[in-house]
Parts: sequence; C-alpha cells; structure tokens
Amino acid sequence: MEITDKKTARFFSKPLMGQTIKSNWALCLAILLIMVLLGNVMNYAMSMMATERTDVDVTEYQESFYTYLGALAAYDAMTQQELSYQDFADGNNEAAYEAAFELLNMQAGMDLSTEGFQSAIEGLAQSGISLDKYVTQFEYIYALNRSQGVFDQEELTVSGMLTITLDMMGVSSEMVERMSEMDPASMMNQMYYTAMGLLPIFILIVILANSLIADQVDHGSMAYVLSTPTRRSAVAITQMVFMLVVPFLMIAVVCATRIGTSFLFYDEVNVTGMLALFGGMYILVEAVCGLCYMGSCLFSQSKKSMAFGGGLAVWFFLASMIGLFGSENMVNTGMGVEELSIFNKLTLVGLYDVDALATVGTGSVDTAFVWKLLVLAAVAIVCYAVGAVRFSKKDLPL
Amino acid sequence: MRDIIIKTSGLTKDYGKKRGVFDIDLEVHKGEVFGFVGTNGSGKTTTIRSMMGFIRPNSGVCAVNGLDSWTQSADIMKNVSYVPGEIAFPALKTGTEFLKTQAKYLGVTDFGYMNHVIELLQLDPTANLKRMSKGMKQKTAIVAALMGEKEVLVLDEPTTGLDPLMREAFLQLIREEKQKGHTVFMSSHIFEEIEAVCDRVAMIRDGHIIDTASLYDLRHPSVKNFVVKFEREPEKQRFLETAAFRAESKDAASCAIVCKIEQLDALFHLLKDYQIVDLQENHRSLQQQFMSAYKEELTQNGNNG
Repeated sequence: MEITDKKTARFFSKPLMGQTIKSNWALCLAILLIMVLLGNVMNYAMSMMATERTDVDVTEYQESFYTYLGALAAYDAMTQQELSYQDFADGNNEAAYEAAFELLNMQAGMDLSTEGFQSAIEGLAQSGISLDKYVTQFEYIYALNRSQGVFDQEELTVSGMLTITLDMMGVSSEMVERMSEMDPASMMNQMYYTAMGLLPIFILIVILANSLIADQVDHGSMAYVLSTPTRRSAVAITQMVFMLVVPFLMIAVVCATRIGTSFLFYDEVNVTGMLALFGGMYILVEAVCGLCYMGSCLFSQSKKSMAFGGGLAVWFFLASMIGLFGSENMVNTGMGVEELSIFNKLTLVGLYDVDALATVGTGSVDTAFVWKLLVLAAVAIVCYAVGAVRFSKKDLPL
Repeated sequence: MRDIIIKTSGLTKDYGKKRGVFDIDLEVHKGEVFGFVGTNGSGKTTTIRSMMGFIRPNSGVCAVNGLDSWTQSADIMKNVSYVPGEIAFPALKTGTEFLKTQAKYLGVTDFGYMNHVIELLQLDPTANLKRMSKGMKQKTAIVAALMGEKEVLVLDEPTTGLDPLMREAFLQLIREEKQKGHTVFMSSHIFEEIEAVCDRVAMIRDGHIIDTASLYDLRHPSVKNFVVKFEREPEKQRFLETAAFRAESKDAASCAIVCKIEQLDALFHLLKDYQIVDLQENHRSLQQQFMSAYKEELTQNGNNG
C-alpha cells in the first residue's frame, strides 16, 4: 500500500477539477460553437448594413449638381436646345455644354464649367443613390418652384408635399425624421449584447451551476468526493473556479473571433471598445453565474436549484428582451414604446450598459457603465460567498 | 479496554414527526466488525451520515478516531472509506474512469489491492457507468471504497443488489479486512450476513437503539436448547419425571430441553438409557433475538403509552 499524498484538500481539489472538466467539456464546447457562430454572423450582417448606408455627406455636391441642372433648364428654355444630364453623361456633345456654360457665366455672372459639372456628378455618385433619382427629384423641385399655391399664393416645396402626404396616411412626420436618425448598428449591438448573445451562455451556466453542486448532492455522487480527504470548502471553491474560468474562456474566444472577423469586414475596428463590451458581458454573466451557484448550494434538490437558477436566468433574459422594445432605438422606429423600458430596471442585464461601453476607445467616453458593472460584480461576489459558506455548513443527504 | 474507533454519545438528529435518530450511543472498537441492523427507515443511514460528517446532529457528539465528525470530517476521511447506501456515480463514462478518479482523490498509486478486489468480485470496470446493473454499481462502489485500504470501513447496506455468490465473496472481503486489523461498521437488514461476519451488532428501531448484542454470545451460548424425540411416550414421561433439566413436553413423543453447557455431558449420559429417534438443537438466530427485542420494545412502549 502506498499513499503518496495523504494531505487534506482544503481549498482546491485537482481530481475534482479533472472530473468536472471531463463531465462538462462537451456541453461547453457545443455552446461555445453556437456563440462563436452567432457573434460572427451578427458581425457580418452588421457590416453589410453599414456598407449599404454610407455616411458620406453629399449635400454640397447635390446643391452644386442642382445648380447645374437649373442652369441647363434655363438655357434650354432660352435657346430651344435639349441639353440634359443624360446627354452630358453620354459625353457626345461636350462643346455644346462648354458654350452653354460660357453664355450663362456671362449673362448671370455665374462660375460654371464642364469640369465643375463633372466633379458634382462624381461627388454625388458617392451617395450610392442613382443619379437618375436626383434628376427626377430635381424635376419636381423645378416644376414646383415655377408655380405657387392657387389659394394662398404660398410657395410649394417637395418636403412640404411629402409631409402633408405622410400626415394624411397617419405617419407622423416626427417619426420619419427619427427614422432617418436611427442607428441600426447600435440597435443590432444592443440586441446582440443584451439578448441574443447572452442566451446560449445563460443556458450553459444554468445547467453547469446545477450539475456542479446540487445535482451531485441530490443524486448522492458527491459522497464519493466527500468521503475522501477533501474538505467541503475545497469542493465549493473548485467548482467556483470552474464557474469563473469557463465563462471567461468562452467569452474570450468569442471576443477574439469577433475582433478577428471585424478586421475582415470593416476598415476601422474599435478594439478597446469591443474588449470593454465583452468584458462587461463577462461581469454580467458572472453575476448570473453567482446567483445560479448560490441556488445550487442552497438547495439539496436538483429540481429546486434548477428552478431557482433557471427561473432567474429566463426572467433576466425575457425582461431584457421586452426592455429592448423600450429602448430609444426601438421607440424611434415605432416598434417600441417608451413605457416598456421599465423592464430594463427589473433585470440584471439592465445594468450592462451597452451604449456606454461602446464609447470606450472613442473620443467621448460615457462612464455611466462603471457603477453598473460594480453593482454586478458585487452581486457576483456576494452570491459566490454566500453559496460557498452555506454549502460548507449544511446537511447533505449523502 | 481496546481503542474506541467510532463513538457516538447522545447522538440526536430530529427530522420531526418522530423521524430521525434519538440518543444513539455506540462504541465500535478497533479491529471489530460491527453490524447495525434495523428495518427500513429506522435511522441506520441517518446515524451513518452523522458519523461521516454529512449532517450535523441536533445534539450529542459523534467521533471517529477521536476527531469530531462534523468539524473535522475531512481529516477523518484520511482513515475512513465509505460505501453510500444509495449508489449514484459522477457523470463519468466508464467504471475504470471513475475508479481512476477515485484513486486520485485518495492518493492511491498502487492498484494491486484494487485489482485483487475487482477479481474477487468479478467486476468488469470497463462497462459504461450509466448502463451498469444495480449489482455492478454496488460492486464498483465497494471497489472504490476498499482500494484505499483504510483502517476504518463504513458500509451502508453494502450487499444490496448482489447475488448470493457475490454476497459470499463480499463477506470474504470483510473477513480479510478484519484479519488485517481494520475496523468495519456495516449496516444491513439481512440478518444472515451480519451473523456471518460481525462481532457485535446494534439494533435500531424508530431511531432508538433497542439492543446491542455480542455475536460471540450468540455463537457460544451458555444455554442450549434441544428437542428430543423419544420412541415411545411412556419413556418421555419417565424422562420428564426423573431428569434434573428444565424440560417441557411438546407433542406426543418429544420434549424441549434447556441445558446449560456444563450439564451437556450429564444430559447425554442420561439420554443413553432412552430410545431416542431424533435429536435437534434449536439455534437461536440473530433474527429471533431481534424479533424478541423488537417485541419487548413494542410491549414496553404499549405499557408506557
């Protein structure tokens, strides 16, 4: 008989860690795959959304383009010619345009040139909107400009007409304005970080927390650990370490792949901002982890622990989902109501301030996230401590 | 006085509604095989859980090797192996994997003894843990407990699910442990196996110890009971009238005789003169002892209440 290590495991049990890893690695890996997939597909979708809407400011080019169109219209009326943008773009008749612009410059003291026209066209093309549409819009503006209200003699404008039409259709012009201001990227971010991205890892930690303590106590397999020189505190701390490290590793991997694919999809990546977002997510996950762990330590019945941890996690997720419809972005699109934002105060996820965290690494950092994350960290610490102490002191049906 | 390995005094764990254990006083000596018998739900497992430090007694103390079970359970476990009453294994794949993990917890590096036990119990540890039959699980649990070769073994109904052959093999293992000088505390509700290996036995009913008996006394009684059948009834009458033994007539030609060990010789000399067709010794079994103690307790309770 040779017993090499007869020491009592006080704070950490290596064999228990081995056993925990062996029994849970497959589930963790599966969830990790889902999370990586979800994170990166979302990232890709967001990058597509961003390229569809460029933020290049074309107002100046538009103005200049309309000036040229206006000049051409006046010239055509004056000289009975048929010069147009389309004709110019075809490039068959450059001399005629040069002559026209020269004449207009002389008559009206303007500064027109074929080069100027060309640069206005090129500038406007950056908007991604077809130039034909600008031409058509100009037609309306030009036509309306030449007439006035039959009854009130007031000026008629395109925007005025649009507002009236939408009003009569029951769409408030305010909403239209907000819609144009809405930021789909921020909305997708909010959705990913506070709802979709959290769901897989919530499921994982609910299952893990239950199977690490309560389930083993309930079934009685914990007896094989505790009938060896292993203190209860060692069991509690070993399982706690697992609950701290696994979500960290998983979120780290998701974060790393997301940063990696971001460099593929975008030209510019705010790496520190993304690290801050995932760091915040880790603290949030640990707070929920702590609650589930505490439930697992408090209850000796697997179903009770599952109901406690799972119930809370589902509630946090659902409330955060509903709260999403109360967020500024959703309200702006008309898909949400401001009153629903109260749900954000009823869930721990509400303390994970995605908008503020996204500002990290940019010029203007909103530090509102700091105290919220501190509250989450405090929740995690208290729950882990309460759970571990309770587990060391309670009666175990083994 | 020999060393006391396990000692409980006034151990009480009240679960309410008369459930639990009350005022349990036990002393298990070194090198002893101590049996703990009782009906289902009588408090055997609760007592064992208190000994192992899994539950905290409401009052009274429980100590193993002089260490308090509740506060120093991990230190106690250096010298104690335990087979739980309810067999549920961790979520590992095969029996081998489980036994290896268990060896790591125990710090066992020499698997010689473990293989000996596996062979004796004819266990195939490579089987899938979840698909094991009840008997196989029980065997695996026994192997896991015995491989540490600890000085104290606490077994909670260790033979449930074992077939008669394996039960015999298991009892052989217990005898081996005893030879090594190890102390064994085992609970059971099967009297035969307790009778076969134990030195002393405590009986528990509704959470109270009702009797503690030495099996030495049971195996070596000071008084023996015989049933003698005479060829003819008059001979029996003659015997009853003349013999100086406590005897009472049973049916036609037979009678029951109570005889002290010292008188045995005299009895047989006397019987030489009679025509005997049958002689039978009535062995008082543990079960009978339990039943009588059980009934006594019942009538006592009846009188009190």
